[in-house]
Amino acid sequence: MPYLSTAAIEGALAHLADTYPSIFQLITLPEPSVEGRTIHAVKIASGTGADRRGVLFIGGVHARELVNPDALVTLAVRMCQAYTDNTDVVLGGKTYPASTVQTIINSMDVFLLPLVNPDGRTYAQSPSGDSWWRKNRSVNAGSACRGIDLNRNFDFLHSSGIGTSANPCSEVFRGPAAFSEPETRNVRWMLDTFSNIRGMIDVHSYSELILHPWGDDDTQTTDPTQNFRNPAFDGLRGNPGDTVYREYLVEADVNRFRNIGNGLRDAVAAVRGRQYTVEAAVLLYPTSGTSKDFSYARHIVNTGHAKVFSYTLETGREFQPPDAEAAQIINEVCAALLQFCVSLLCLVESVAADAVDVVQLDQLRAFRDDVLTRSPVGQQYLVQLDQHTPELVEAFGADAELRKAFAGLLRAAAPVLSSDDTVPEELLRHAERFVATLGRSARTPALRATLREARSDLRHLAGRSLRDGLDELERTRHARLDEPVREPTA
Amino acid sequence: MDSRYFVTIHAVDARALRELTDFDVDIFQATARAGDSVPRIEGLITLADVGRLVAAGYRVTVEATEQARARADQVASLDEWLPAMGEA
Repeated sequence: MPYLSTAAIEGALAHLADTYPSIFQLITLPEPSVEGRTIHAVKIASGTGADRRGVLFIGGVHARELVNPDALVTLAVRMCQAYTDNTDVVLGGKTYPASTVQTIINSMDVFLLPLVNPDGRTYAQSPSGDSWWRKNRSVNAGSACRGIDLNRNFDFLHSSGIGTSANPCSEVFRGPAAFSEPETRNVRWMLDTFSNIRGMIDVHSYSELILHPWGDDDTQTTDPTQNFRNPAFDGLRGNPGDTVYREYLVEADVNRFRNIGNGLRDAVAAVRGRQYTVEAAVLLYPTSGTSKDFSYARHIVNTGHAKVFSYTLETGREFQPPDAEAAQIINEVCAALLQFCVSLLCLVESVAADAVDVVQLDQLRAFRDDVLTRSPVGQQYLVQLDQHTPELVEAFGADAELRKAFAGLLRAAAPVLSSDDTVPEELLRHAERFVATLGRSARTPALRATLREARSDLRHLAGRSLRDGLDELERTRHARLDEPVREPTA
Repeated sequence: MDSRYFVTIHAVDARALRELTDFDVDIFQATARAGDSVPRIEGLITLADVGRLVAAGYRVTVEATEQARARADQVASLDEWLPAMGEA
């Protein structure tokens, strides 16, 4: 199938809004493009609620990377069909069961902005245009060269000049100011307006990469003063490989970026075996003004903003692959983006929200934020929960009894989570039974191993409060590490 | 407009590869590779650019003409696309 025209992309979104009105909503962005085209985003969701998480997928920032807007529109179609017709999404060797897609749509807001830069795409597809046009179509004052590189126009170290150019004729011309362009302001508007967005992927081409922050320099986790807001380091950033400056990133987020990225990589590989590489974006060339770094950095600049885990996906091995290859890449993009949705789902809210009341949800959240995150063992469990959420969502989606058992356990556990009372023996036995049942549904050795460990850990809670139990677990694990290594006997 | 060519640009080291940005040519930053062999990157440049880079010590391999990889003129209408997606 050839590439969609700009008009066809708009038409496809209008068709989906007409065909699936209960789950598909068109959003007219506040600013038209430089040449006056109306730009639409969409929201795929069923239901409402203050606690729903959102994800944002954007494409077509660079005009010549033609396959990516088509991939985002295709994802929208497949999600709508899976939800409505109860059909699985089959992507080569990777299948997302209908129940998983239904869980996503029922519990998340999925925002798509398939074509950020319609003027650029129209010019690239025009017989009188340029197939390899990258930028938007801004008229640059005092220059015969048109266009601004939109992915160097976001407000992240924009004026630093790192990996950008002040020359309007350059392919990486950053523009006169951050957010000088209506197309980038529209992306910012999405993040500002839909404050429940917790994850963002900007889909580009090419090189088979999954990139996460930072892009301006190497990353480090030990010196918070080396950060993009600190003017003491102005002029010292943008030299990867040196020891003068490296951008600070909280270690837990480094791990989460890697874990989520690895999940995307595995989902892509399952389609037809292509191995994307997960890495920090700086690579050989540092950059500034990118959507990914801006989206993640917002919560650091303004603590009122939510943290957005943001990536750049570099799809395929050329800008405009032939039909058969484009179809495979579209499958890979769909797999990565669905995997991202599942990775960012809150297991409790998505699987058991109906069965757990608001008070109990608050108790669960408080336990996560006030107890688990402050304990090394608790943090380890949260990381493991992140890693296994996609498999758990699939398991719960396919088994109503398992879902019911999970909700029952959460209801029983909620009162204990917010108290310093001793964990009742009955609750421990309940949890052990559930973990054993879940273990029988586990598909991967990794989840089975985690559940075995959890079952063993539950015994350490006997006769203790949860806080004391976590402390005891910590001591036990240290003691195990301190044990001398026993040499095997002959 | 002068004809452009898809090229692979080889540099003597990673630093030289980074310094390619000084030439203001259309290089595809995500394709840069330095770890495993000779540092290299792909790009889309004119023959005049090839000359400038070679004169500066880079090795440039021409991979394809721009027309050979261009598919932007192959455009699908909504009427063609919807049935292919199972949407009547």
